[in-house]
Amino acid sequence: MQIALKALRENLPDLLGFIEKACQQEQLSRQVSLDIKLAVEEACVNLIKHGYAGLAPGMIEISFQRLDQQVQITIMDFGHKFDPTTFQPPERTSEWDQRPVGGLGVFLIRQVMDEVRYASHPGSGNRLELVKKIS
Amino acid sequence: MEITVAQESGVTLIRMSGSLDSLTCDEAQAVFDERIKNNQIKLVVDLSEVDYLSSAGMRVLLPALKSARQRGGDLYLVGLQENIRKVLSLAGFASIFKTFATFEDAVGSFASR
Repeated sequence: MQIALKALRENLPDLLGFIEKACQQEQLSRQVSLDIKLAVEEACVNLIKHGYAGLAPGMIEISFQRLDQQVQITIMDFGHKFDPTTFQPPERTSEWDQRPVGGLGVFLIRQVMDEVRYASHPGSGNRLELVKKIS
Repeated sequence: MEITVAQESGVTLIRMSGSLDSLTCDEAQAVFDERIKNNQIKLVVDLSEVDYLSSAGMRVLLPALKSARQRGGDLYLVGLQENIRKVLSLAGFASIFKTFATFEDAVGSFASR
């Protein structure tokens, strides 16, 4: 299953709707579906906000594939390289008045997915692979 | 997302349903901004019908909590579903937000401050 739309906020409902429908079709559990939706939302929002910053909005291509007892979601873009696997986790221990508001999205992707892989090749785009075990 | 606001026992009850995420956070932000502007700083957010929370939603809740506390009030969460509890915990927010099972428990906590 695949979808490809421009990296614009107005397309976020359709991108997330695609993921919800794919999870339903594969009859994934509620928790697994919510985890996948969260990871995809965080990834897409980052792409929409930052992926094509300074460039004309490009495409986000999402594919959803069931492979035996896991699901792989691949998110392709052709904008700036941003490797979430190397991103420093946000600070999460300070008191309420010192706690930073941002930086959680990438962290949550890595928390709710079982594997996160990233590759970037000039001319071929950026590829984020998210794997979730479903057994 | 549906958001309703009510006043009970000197406390502002904000009831949300659906998803608190990138698509609905602006609407939620406006509700909190209006409450703080009107000095309604004893806030109870009923999330019992919210089944999905992303970082965008947390970027609304945390500043609202900060604004309320800095003005001598607070923001309590009520009725957390398991998935919401999990995401708040992953984000490190479980230690920041006071949570209660029911609105009555939250009101009681405000009353005993």
